[in-house]
Amino acid sequence: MNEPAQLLPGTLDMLILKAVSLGPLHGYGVLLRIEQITRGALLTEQGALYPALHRLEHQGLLQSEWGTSENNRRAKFYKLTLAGRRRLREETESWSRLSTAIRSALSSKPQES
Amino acid sequence: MFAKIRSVCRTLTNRARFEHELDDEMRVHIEARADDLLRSGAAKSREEAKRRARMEFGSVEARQDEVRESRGISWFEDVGQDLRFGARVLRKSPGFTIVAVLTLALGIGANTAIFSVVYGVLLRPLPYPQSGRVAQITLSYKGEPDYPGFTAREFEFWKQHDEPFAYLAASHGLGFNLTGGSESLRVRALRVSSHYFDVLGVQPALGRNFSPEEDSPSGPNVVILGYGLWQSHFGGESQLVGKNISLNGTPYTVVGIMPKGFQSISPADLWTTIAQANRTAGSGTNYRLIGRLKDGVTSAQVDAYFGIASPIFLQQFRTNLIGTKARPYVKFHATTLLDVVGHTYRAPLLALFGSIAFVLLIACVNVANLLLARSATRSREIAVRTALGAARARIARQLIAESLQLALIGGVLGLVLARWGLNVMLGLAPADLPRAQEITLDQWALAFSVAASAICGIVFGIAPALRGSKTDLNESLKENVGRATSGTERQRMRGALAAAEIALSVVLLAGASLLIATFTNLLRVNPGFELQRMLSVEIWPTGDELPTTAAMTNFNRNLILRIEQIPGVQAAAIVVGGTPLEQGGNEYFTFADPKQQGVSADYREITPEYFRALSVPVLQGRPFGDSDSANSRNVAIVNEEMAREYFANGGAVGRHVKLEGTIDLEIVGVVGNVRSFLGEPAPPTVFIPDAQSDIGGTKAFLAWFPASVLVRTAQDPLSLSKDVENAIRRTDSAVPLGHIQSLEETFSTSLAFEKFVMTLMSTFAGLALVLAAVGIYGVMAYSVAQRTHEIGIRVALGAGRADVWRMVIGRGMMLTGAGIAAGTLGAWGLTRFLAEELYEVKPSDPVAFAVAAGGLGAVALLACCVPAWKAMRVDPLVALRHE
Repeated sequence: MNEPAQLLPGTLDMLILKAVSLGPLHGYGVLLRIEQITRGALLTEQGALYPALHRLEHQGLLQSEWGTSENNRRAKFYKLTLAGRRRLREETESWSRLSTAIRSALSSKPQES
Repeated sequence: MFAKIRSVCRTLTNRARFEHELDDEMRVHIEARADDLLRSGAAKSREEAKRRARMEFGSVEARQDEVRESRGISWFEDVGQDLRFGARVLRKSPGFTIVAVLTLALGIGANTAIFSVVYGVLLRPLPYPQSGRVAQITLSYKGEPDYPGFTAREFEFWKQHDEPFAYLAASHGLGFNLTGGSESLRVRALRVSSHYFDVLGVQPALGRNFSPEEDSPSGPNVVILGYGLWQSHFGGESQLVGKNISLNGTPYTVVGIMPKGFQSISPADLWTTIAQANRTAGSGTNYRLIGRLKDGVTSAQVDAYFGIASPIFLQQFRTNLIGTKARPYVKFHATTLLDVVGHTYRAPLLALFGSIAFVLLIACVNVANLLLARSATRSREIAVRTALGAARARIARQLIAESLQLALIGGVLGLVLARWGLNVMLGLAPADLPRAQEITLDQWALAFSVAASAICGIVFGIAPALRGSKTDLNESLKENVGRATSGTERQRMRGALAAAEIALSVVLLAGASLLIATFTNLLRVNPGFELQRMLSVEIWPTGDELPTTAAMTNFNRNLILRIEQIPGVQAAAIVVGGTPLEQGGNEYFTFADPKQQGVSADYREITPEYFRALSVPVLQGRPFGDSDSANSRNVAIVNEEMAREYFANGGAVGRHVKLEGTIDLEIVGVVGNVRSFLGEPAPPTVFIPDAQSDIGGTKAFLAWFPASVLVRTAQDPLSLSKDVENAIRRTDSAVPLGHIQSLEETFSTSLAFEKFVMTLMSTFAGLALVLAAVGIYGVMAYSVAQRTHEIGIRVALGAGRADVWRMVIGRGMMLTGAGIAAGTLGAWGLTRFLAEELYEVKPSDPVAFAVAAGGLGAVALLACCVPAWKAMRVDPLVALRHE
C-alpha cells in the first residue's frame, strides 16, 4: 500500500485557492476537496488549514460568509475574490513552468561529448 | 495593503464576535469530520468518532493563536498588554510618576504655548483666499536692505509691468477725522488702488468695489467702510451705501461695505482710492505694492521677470526721489504676506521657540535619568523576564510603552498648563504683536503637543530601553541591589545626561543674561529729555476749521494759554510730526553748497515752549520765540547729531538749509539729541516754528502722525489728564483725541517687546536651572545611595568625613564642570541668533557667560551638598550591616 504523499511546503495556499475556485466551500469541505483533487495527499494536522484560510482572507484573496452546510450546520463558506483568482492563475503558471523544468531535468540523459 | 488594513480594523472592532466565530468554525469542522468517520464505519461509536476527529484536527488553541497572528491582531494585543503593564508599573511608584509627569507637563506645556504664539504670528495663513499666492513687491538698492516703498510714479511703471500678476495694487496708510456728528472721530484709513480687494480676493459684502474710473486723479471722493466702523458708528444701517459721509470735512460717497472679519494687511477702518493721494499727501515712497500671482506662475518665474524688469525700471528712475543720488543697481523681491506681517517678530520668536525646546530637552533628560535610576532597581525584574524567555525587542518595547505613557499623561497635563501659560504670555505681549487677539490653543497646537509628547516619550525612553534590554542576565541576577558593585556603565550614562542638562541650561542662562543686560542697558539710556511728570495727549486738528497756518498757530496759542492756567502745569507745548520715543516724519534737506549731499532728516513743527517743556538743553544759539512769526525770516533749529554730521567745521548757528530743495531756513540754534527709538541713536533732526510751517505740509503730516500736546506738571501727570482734555475741548470741540498717557508710559511701551522677550527668556532659563539642579541632585543622591556600602568601608578603613565630602562634591563638580564647558561652547555658537535683539552687549559678552557659568556652578554645588552631607553622615556600622 502506498504511503499517502505529504503536501509540499508552500503548496497549501495554492491548493486552497484551487479548491475554492471550483465553488464556495466551508473549511471541512476545503479539506475534502483537496484530498479529492490531490488524490489523497494528507495534511498532518487538519487544523493547519485554518491559519492558511484566515491568512488568505486577510490578504484579500478569499472572502467568507456564513451559510448552512449540506447537513444543516451553520458554517463559514469561503470563496475566491478577483484578486484570489488572479493569484491562482499566476501560481498555476509558475508551477507548470517549474514542473516542466524539473521534469525535463530529471528525464535528461547523460550526453556523450 | 488596503485589504489588510480593512481586515485588521474589522477584526479589532468586533473582537468578541471574531473569537466566537473562530470557535464555531473549528467546532463545525470537527463535528462534520466525526459524522464522516461514523458514516464510513471508520469509527464504531459516536464517542470514538469525535475523539478521532479531534486528534486529526490537532490543537485548537495553537491553531487559533496562529489564526490571530495571521490576522495581524497579535501585535495590537501585545501593545495593549504593554500599555496595561506599563500603567500598573507607573501606578506602583507614584512618586516617580508624579515627578516625571510634572517635569514633562512643564516642558510640553511651555512649548505648546510658545508654539501657539509662533504659529499665530508667523505661520497661520492670512485670512484671504489662497493667501500664499499674494506677495508684496520690495526693492533693494546696492548695499541697502530690502525696502517696501514705491512712489506714485513707480507704481505707474509697475502697472505696465505686471505680467506675473493676475492683479496688482498699491496702498498707503493715513488717518481721517470722521466728522459730521457732534464729536469727530479719528479713523484709520488706507488709500488703495482699484484692484486692491481683487488682490486679496475679498469683495465688499454690500455695494461694490472701486471702479478704475473712480481710482483716477480727477475721480470722485468715494469710500468703502469696514464692517466694524459701519456697525459701531453707523449702526449697521443698510441704506448707507450711496450716501455721503464726511472725512476731514469733505464729503465722500460710500460705495461699499466690507464683510465681517475682513481686515487689510495694514489694518484700517475704511478704504478710499489712491489716485487722489497727491492732493493731500506728499509723493514720497509711501506706496506699498501687493500682487496676486497668476495661476501656475512660480516664484522662480517671478524672479526671472523681475530680473528683466529691473533695468527698465532703472532707466526710468535713474535717481532717487529728490534726484540727488544715482541708482546704480536695483533688485526686486516678492515677499510673501506672512513674511511681511511677521517680519520684525520672526527672529526673536524663533529664538524663544528654540530656547523653550531646550527646556523640553532638559525635561526629557531629567526623566530619562529618573527612568535609568529606576531601571537599575528594575534590572532584576527584567533579568527574570529575559530568563523566562521574553525577547530583547519585546522588553525594549515594553519600556518604550511605559515612557510613551508617561509622555502622553505629561502632554495632557501640559495642555492645561499651556492654556494658562498662553494667557499669561499674551498678557505680557506688546500691544502691537500682529494678530495676537487670534492666538488660541487650536488644533495645530493640539497636534504639536501630541507630536512633542510622542517624540519626548521616545527620546527619553530610548536610553533606558537600550540599557534595560541589554541587561546581562548573570550579572543582574547575582547583583544585590545596593551592593558595592553597581552598574558602572549606567552610572556613567546618568552622569553624562546630567552634564548634558547643565550644558543646555548654560546656553539658556547665557541667552537670558544677554537679554537682561540689553534691557538694563536700554533702561539706562538717556532719551534726551526729562521723562518724569510729563503728560502727552494726541490730538488730530486736521478739519476744515483750521485751513491756514495762521488758524493752526492761533489754535495752538489758545490751547497752550488754556493749559498753562491749569494749576500744577509748569509748561506746555505742541509738536507736529512725532513725539519723543515714537517714530516721526521726515523731510529732505539740502545745503548752501549744491555739491554737498542732501539728507533725509527727521522733521518737527513745534511751538516755542517745546524745548523748555521737555527740558531739552539748547546747546548753541537760541530757542524759538514769539518773534519767529509768519512775517519774519524763516528759521530752524537742528539737533546735535545734525550739527555734528553736517556742520562739523564751525557751529551750525547762522548756516542755512533748504527744505525740499526750495525753502531757505537759517539755523538759529542747536539742541540736545532726543531719541525716537531707545535702542537707536537720535537721527539728524530739524525743528521749525509752527508759525512758519506750510499748512499743506502740516496737513500731510497730520494724516500720519498726531499732533501731541506735551504738558510738564508739578505732580502725577495723569492726574491732570481730565483738565487738559477739557482745555482742548473748550479750544475746539471738534478735534478728536487720541492716546492720553504719561511719557513714562510711552517709554515703557517702547520697551514692551524687549521686556516680553527678556521675561520669557529669563523664565525659561529659570526653569532650566531648576530642572538641571534637580537632575544633578538626582544623580548624586542616587550615586551616594548606591555607594553607601563602599562609603561605609572607606570610613571604617579610616577615611575622614572631609574625604567623603570631597569625594562626592568632587564627582558632582566634575560633571558640572564638563557641562559648563560644553554649554559655554554651545552658547558661544548659539547666542549669535540673539544678536538682533541685543543692545550694547556683544553676543559673546564674557560677563554674561561668566554669570551663566557661575550661576549654574553655584546652584549645582548647592544641589550636590545635600547628598554629600548624607554621605558624610554614613555610619560605617549601619552601612556594613546593610548586607
